[in-house]
Amino acid sequence: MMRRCAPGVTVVSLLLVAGLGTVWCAATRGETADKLSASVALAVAIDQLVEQAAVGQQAEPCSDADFVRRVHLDLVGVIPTPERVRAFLADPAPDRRIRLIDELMASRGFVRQMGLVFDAMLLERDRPPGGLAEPWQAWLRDAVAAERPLDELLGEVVAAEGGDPEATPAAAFLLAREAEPVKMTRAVGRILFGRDLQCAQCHDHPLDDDLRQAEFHGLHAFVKRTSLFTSGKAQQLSEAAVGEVDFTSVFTEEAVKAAWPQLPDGPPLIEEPIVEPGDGYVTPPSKSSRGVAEFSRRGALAERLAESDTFRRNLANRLWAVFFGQGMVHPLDGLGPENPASHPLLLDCLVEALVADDYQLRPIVRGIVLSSTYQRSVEPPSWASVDAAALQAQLSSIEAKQAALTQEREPLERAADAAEGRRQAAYDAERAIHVELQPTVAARTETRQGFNEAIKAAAAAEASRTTAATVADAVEAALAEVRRASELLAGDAAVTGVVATLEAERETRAATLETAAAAATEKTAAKRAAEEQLTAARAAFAEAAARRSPATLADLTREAEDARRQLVLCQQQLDRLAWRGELAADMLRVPSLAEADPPAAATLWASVVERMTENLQVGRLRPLSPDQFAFSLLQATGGLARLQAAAIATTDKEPPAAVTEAADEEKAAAREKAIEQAFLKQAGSVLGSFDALYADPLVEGFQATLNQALYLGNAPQVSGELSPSGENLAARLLAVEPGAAADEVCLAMFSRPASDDEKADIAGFLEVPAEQRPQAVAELIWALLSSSEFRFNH
Amino acid sequence: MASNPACRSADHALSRRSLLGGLGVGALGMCGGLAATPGLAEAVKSGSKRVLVVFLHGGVSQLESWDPKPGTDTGGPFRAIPTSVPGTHISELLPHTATQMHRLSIIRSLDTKNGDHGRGQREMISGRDQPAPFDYPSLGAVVAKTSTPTGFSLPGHILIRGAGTGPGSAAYLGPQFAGVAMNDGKPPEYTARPEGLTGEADRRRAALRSRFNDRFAGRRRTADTDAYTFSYDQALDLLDQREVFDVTKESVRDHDRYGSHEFGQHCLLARRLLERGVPFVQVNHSNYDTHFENFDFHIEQLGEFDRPFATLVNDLTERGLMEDTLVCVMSEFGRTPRINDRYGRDHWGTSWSIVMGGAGVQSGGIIGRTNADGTAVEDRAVDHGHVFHTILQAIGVDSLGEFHVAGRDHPIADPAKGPIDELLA
Repeated sequence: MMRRCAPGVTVVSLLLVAGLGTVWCAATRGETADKLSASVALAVAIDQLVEQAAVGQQAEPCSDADFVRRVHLDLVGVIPTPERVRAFLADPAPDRRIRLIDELMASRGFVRQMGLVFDAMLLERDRPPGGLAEPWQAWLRDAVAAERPLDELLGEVVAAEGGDPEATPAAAFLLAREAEPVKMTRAVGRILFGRDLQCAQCHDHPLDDDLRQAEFHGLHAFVKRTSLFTSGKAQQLSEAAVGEVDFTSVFTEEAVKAAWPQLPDGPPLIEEPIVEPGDGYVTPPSKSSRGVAEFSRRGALAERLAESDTFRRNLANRLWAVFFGQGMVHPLDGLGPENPASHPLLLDCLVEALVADDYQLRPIVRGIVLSSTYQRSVEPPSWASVDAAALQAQLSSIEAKQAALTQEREPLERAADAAEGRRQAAYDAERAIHVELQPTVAARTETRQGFNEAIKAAAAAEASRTTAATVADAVEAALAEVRRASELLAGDAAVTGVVATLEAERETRAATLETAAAAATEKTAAKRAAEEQLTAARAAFAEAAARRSPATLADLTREAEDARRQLVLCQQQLDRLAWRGELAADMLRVPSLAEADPPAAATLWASVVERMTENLQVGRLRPLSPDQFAFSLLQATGGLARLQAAAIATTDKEPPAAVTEAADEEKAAAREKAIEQAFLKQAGSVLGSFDALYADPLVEGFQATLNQALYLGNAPQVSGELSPSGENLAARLLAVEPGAAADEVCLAMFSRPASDDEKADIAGFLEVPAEQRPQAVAELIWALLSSSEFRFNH
Repeated sequence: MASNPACRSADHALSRRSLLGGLGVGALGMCGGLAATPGLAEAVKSGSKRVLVVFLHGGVSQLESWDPKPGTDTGGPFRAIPTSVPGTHISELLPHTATQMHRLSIIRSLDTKNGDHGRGQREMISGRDQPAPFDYPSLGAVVAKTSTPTGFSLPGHILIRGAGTGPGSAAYLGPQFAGVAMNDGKPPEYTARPEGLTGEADRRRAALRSRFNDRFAGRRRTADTDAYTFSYDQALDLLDQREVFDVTKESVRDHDRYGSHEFGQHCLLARRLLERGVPFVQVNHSNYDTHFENFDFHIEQLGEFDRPFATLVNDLTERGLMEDTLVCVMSEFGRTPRINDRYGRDHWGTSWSIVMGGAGVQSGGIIGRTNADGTAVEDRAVDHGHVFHTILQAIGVDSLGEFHVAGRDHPIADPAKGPIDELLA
């Protein structure tokens, strides 16, 4: 784990981090690798890197009550039950947090929640067409349950053959983009590579960089041949064997013909099979069937995903964002040299962990939630805690690191420029060959077309010759028969006449045959000639193509990317050092400002706290996602237990085929899965309302809208949950004395006991005549439900 | 890279700052309580301008409305009549509107190069070319985002329509700015308290909610928590003003003037909403897709449109609202000059018209010109992009600027286009 450019890391701590890295790499590589200890090492590495980058104080570790709520929301998508909270708060064991994490991660809820996380990540709340939503979500859950590596999962998402959508639910990713090439390109660029290349495609940002246009079209070429095939109601994917991306650079006005398929940071796909007319299909596209190409460009994209550092970085950043409410790189589709991660070294570390763990989801999630960084309190330190002397020292150390890094930057830049020059030269050379190859490709197409036609013509001529020969033979045979008859009937005029007719006919037929045979010979010769032309065209192509050296370009691309990455890492660290220096300076200004101008000091401290949050020193207040909010509302009020019971009852009353037909040893698992599906169906209407009303925090940021407040305040779906029924929260609150209600309601909704202050407030609120208590209880539950403490993960 | 995540737009900074101002103080513990919410009356006086769009669904015929060509092969049977602007003629199907033309301008040179309903509706309402498959916010979302006064508690983007068509998309601006539908003129969803919940009880539970929020704010307070708690205050405010959505509260006389049919009622409702300061109101009128019997249908549809629309323009003017309300009558496209063999006209995006007025735009004017039989634009061709810029600039929005949302930059309007300057002069 060599870091050529690591400011903020003293020699000792660098060794420490390196040592931890070694431990963790060794652990994951060993035959009996203990992934769990690898997670611990990842957690330690996260904390080390965050601590090195911290400016001033870090927030305290969060309380057990905050923790139990936070991990439940993040790992199983719903707040804990009051019983669970009580038990956890009463648990004195020092490893209770680790045990809780492991228990939650082993549960069905983890599979459901991660399924929803990937659904939101990949479809961004778009709906796939037709009835595809359910199979798609079930497919995601199965993938999480089966611990499929994420590179493989995402590969399948782009490569999905897309026949019967029920059978290939992964196609939902592209079908949700209507299989429209520009939409698909944008989705792939943003979601799989963290690069929004929209402006590169059109005229919105004329100042944009030329490279990004090429980058856009490099991805575009991978999906260009894919289109929507509609058969009845079903939507499927069709892929052609041919189809190139041509574009004109808006800067150089150079026309680029047949752009190579190319990943944002990968070598171009130079050596593709050339498809001649008539070749290339398992099923050619037609009105009645979708095209299936022998060589799938989407398949090629899938195979290359994991080679791309940008892909890995994006995946690591998006996973991080799930647990921190924001990516280290923000926005999530703003990955690029100009937009540094808040912690460039930490993002690298996460990428390494992802690769070392073979793209497994669980170890990286476990590492993240085990870290103190994840378990930090959302309560910021007060400005009074500013230690001026320590900050001054930190400022000097930041300056020293800046100086050292600036020195390192220059050679890195030279190396990157040189490597880029070599790559560019090789690229240009390959491009020149590619341009020269185009006529030979056209010649192959043309001669192959000619050959195809010559084959047809030769076959037709041969068929004519065969027919003529058959006829001639028949006439000959008839003549022989008639002649024999004529001999027997010596002199019969009629028969003699027939002989004469047939003799004449024989002459004609012989002539026809001769013509047909000549034609056949000629067409066969023409076919041979066409074949020779084709062979020559192929040879001409092969000769020109032999000058290509994709391996060299691939090597040079890798070298250039590596050199660029080191330079970018150095530059980004410099950017972040400057950012941290500014933060330290602002912190130092607060105490004196607080005396001179308290409101200005308050505003400045608020901005400092925001930045400390971005710097991972203080926990972030994160809005719940629409489904976390809906599930938590139901959990708190007691509706979830009702839905779960109903799902079990429905499944057991009428077990679906998947359960009845399962082998005995698989019945239990099949039943559990069926219950999960029934449960999600039951919860569907509430989930749907929340999905329509609430923004996804990672996709759209936080949005508080009037419509949401009106819904939560007045919708019957919500008010219905506030009246007593069975053992729901309202019923439980009505069953206890007002004095005991405070803890019960706070545990159910806030996952913590009530404070003394709240106990008094709630007791007072419930002090109404008995007949008004149900109403008061409903108001009480609603007040907590609509509060910030419920709305945010803290 | 075009987007600069560190950059903050003026409007973003402003709204966040107004929240953060109070926040910082609270966080330092120097001052308790949440920032006061400005009252509604004050908000409406803040001087923001408004937009009214009347959208004639299906594609109104320019030849039977704003650009008549009587006596030509393509002109159809109707005459052109003089209007309140000397020299300006419109179709005889719009006699009431003709008396208001000095308050409006006609743009006779739209060339939107499209004959698809869905695309035309998207393009006209978002101001963007939409074969490029990106989602852009609709005009209503942009107006709500840029022109909703601080503390305003009614929805900023209201669509009055018959049920059916989709709501105005807010795209990257987010659900806060998406269109709130008043289907068939009925109040928006969930604006009535559930049975058994009195206003008093609602306020009581809201007070309890505030106490929990104050306690939590002691632990952590952010712009997000402030926006969240504010949204409930806004909802409570809205319920108190629920009558805004109730057109029956208007006088009998006004009901007579506007007419009891759907479009008349919707125009009266639009006036009511605009008077209360709603920044964007759209009224839809159907159906102008007259592939056959074009002339009969236009007699009927425009007959319904004419009087309420003219009354609305007149009322807005008399009540002093026209000065800062931009009124635009648009459609997804026009109709073919050629009359087909079923006496119909088909989809036509090559040379058609819209009307615009109010908010200080040039009135009584005519922008652009079509040729003698209306088959082509001869002068000053414009499209949805130019119209979008013009509307926004008329209400004081710098349409050449950018939105900064969740760390990304989005040009407010199509950067390749600009406003129709003659209208803004």
